[in-house]
Amino acid sequence: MSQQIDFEFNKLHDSVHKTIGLSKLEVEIIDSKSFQRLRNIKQLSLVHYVFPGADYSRFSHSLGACHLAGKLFDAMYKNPTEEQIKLKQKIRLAGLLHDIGHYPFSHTTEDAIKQYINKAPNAMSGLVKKGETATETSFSAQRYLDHENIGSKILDHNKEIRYLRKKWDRSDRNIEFIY
Amino acid sequence: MDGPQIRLKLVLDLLGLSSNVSTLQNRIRIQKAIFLAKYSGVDLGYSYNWYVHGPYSPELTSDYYDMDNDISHGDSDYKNYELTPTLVSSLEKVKQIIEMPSGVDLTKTEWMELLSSIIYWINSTTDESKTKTILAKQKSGLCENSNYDIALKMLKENNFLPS
Repeated sequence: MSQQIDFEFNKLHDSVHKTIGLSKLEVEIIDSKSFQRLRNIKQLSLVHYVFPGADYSRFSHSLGACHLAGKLFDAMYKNPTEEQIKLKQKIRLAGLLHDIGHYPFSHTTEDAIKQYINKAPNAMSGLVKKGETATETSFSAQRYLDHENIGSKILDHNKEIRYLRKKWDRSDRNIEFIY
Repeated sequence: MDGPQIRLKLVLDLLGLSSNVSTLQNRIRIQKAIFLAKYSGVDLGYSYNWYVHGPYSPELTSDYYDMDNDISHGDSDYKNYELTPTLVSSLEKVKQIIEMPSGVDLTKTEWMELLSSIIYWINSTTDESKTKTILAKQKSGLCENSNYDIALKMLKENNFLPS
């Protein structure tokens, strides 16, 4: 990756934060299918059906998180070194990508999946009713995947995102760690 | 109560830990106990990040608040179940290691935090000396005197670390 990162490579306008600058890497991530998907997921799940104004999307929210992460960095480092500028990019990416794993309808679906998995037959693995004999020979706890876990899987396995990560010469661990 | 909450309650009972989540100390102990259980072979399926007090799982947080909420509303489903013998025997290792050995000047919560933090970083860096450097910097209070060396020795002796 170039030592100089232009965080104003492109700009867009946000209803909360006004003009937001973006680096080239951020623009390429935003253009990916996985990220564009967030346009259709509302920040407040289904609330917009009752309060039509509550239609802020995970897409806009993530851009705002990226922008604020950069501002946080700027407040901490007045004259950043080249290494610290790289850290700024990582921190901004963490903000940008933190919601990439949200389910359709956001937490509403996540809660439904959690309830489904938690009531599945193997949710009782490792347990035996009192008075009965345990027949289980191995223990396997199946957990539902929350949006953070899904996000981690997208970063690890989505072809487009993996390509971008390789292209920008970031080790997997770097992004994963901060994510 | 669903399976995960019942299992969590029974694991905590077996380890002699409180399932009351109203204090930070208790919540830290639950986080670390379940983390240690994972490395003793009882993986309850939680994933962990590095946080202020060492390895932390947001999903576990969600489950122990659900468990606490169910119990405080009179749900006593867990009383109808017990852990399978396989699980009980695997958890024995955790029960032993969370008991502080002599020569360690930490609280039990801090001891569990130190053990878990060592496992976390050794698995992340695969390097013992890096782990010691990181923890000496981030958790200097826990690593004072011979605490770190004792914890590392016990983790090795009890096979909590990758060989």
